[in-house]
Amino acid sequence: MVPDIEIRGLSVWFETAQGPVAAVDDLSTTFRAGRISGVIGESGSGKSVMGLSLLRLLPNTAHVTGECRFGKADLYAMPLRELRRLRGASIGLIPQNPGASLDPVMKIGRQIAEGITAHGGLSRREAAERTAGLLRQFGFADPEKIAGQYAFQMSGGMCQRLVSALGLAGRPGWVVADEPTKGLDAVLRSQVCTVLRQIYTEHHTSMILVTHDLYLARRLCDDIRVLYMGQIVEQGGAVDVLDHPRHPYTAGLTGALPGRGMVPIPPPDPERLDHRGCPFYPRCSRAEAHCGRARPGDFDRPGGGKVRCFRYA
Amino acid sequence: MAILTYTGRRLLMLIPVLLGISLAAFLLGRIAPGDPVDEALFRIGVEFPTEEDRAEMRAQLGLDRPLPAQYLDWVGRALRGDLGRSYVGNRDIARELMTRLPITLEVSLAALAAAVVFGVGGGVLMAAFHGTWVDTVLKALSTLLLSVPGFWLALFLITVFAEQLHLLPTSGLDRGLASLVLPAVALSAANVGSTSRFTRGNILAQLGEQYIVAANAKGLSQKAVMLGHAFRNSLVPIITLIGNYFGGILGGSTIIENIFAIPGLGSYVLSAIQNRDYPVIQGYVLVTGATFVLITLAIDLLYLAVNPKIRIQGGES
Repeated sequence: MVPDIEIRGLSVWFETAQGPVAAVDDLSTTFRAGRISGVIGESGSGKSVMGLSLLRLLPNTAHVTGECRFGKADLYAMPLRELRRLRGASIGLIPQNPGASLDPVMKIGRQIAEGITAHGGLSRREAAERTAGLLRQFGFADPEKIAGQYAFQMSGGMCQRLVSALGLAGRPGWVVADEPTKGLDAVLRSQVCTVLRQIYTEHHTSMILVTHDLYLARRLCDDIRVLYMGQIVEQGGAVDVLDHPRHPYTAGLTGALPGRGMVPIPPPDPERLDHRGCPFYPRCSRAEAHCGRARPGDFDRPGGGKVRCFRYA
Repeated sequence: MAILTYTGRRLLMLIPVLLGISLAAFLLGRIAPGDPVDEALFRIGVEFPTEEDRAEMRAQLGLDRPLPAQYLDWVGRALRGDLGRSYVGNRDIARELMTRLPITLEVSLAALAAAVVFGVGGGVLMAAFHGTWVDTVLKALSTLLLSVPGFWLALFLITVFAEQLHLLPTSGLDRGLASLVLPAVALSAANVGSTSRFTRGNILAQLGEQYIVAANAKGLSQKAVMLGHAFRNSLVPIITLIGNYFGGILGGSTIIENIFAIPGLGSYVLSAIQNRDYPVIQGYVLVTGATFVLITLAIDLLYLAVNPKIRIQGGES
């Protein structure tokens, strides 16, 4: 039985030369097993930081507080040695930048086999056989040949399929796909969508899809969380949230899509920067005076889910 | 095929470098103070030569011919293993150099091995324990090694390990590997310091790369991530650095060989410099230059082992 992933009060901030910078702000949510859960938002909204925090893969400059229940374990508090047993085996990662995520001096086959043997129990030969099987599943007709090659010999689409195989090498029940379509052209994005759908249907893997690609999120996700400045401002069924956005920020994101008018979200109003209210207040076209004075709570969203906006209080 | 292309290109590049070294060695003999004709006459007992004696000897030595012809003649003889005879002792220079070269190589390679083992090993340790007391202590030690002059360290080591503790010999090479320890340590100390810091910096830079995040996400141990991924990827610049050090070690052995009374090239050339024995210095420049170039070639070929991109596609490292 694959457990849910429950995040409670997650805050992440980074030490920088300019002082501490908050990336995630008191975030709580539950990712249900057996579903594809989307996390969307602009660059810098904290979605990748949240995704990587689950496996404690953030750089040393990150400071993480909060709790992340995974069955009986707290992923943020358990000893690193124990967490390593869960990495790859219980929760896999499909990292962003596929080309850079493959080791340039190690053969592809060995990189995938490492993910299989890291948790013991299999001989090198068995791992090689499973690697070949995994490669075949991801569309490589000649897996033995691919296994003997290096990342620089692969195209962008091949690298994407390879990191997907890498994320599934340890047969995890959960996989975090971090920005899988970032920087890809339309053809490759379509390929990625197919691969992720394949992972979900053929491997029965629960998935957290971290993306700024709203089309991908709408096609794949069952439910969705919209992040703004490290907070979830709206959550609900993926199609409903993206087709009937309730929060002004979600409405801004969807309104910026080519098929919906391509109207960008306005930049922050300099006169509204000094406030103690809703984080979206400086950019919100529907803001009222009280939005800048107090933080909204999570209110019930028409159509299901929650929305963090006083308009639904 | 890419391996052959790469190796062929490296071998071709040797030709101009070796020509440059031979030209530098040849010109050294020509621009040096003192007339080699007088030196040659003095060697055969003519202390006060006449102009006729000089002209005859000049013709005999081929020094009346144009410089390019003299150079070709000198290179031709050098290629046949004839580097002439020394002013002091009138000995066959090539034979003397070839007898001493293995000794110097032994000391230099031992120093290089120390730089690799302690420098790279120390760097890996510092990176693995980054930010802990182990890192702090090793960093301080590497700074110390970098700032201590080799000759001072040599005298210090002799005093402590040879004269006080009687663990290692003070001089000579008659006790095998034990004789090599102190010279190798003295010769490589600064290189150990800089190699360890360079290795540490390179591994730490690799640890920030995306493929390290992916490796950690697989559930690999810290050791597997550090050695299997970060270290392997930092090998090319580390190998380049160590290869570059070899020239310094070869040159530095001159002083160290004298301190430890090791009969290598260093002690030979130092006495030649003191006696202005230019043919010996010429031979030394030629032999050590060629040795350095060949070692550099071997290191270039090592890239083939650690960088698959060169192995498969050829091209620059």
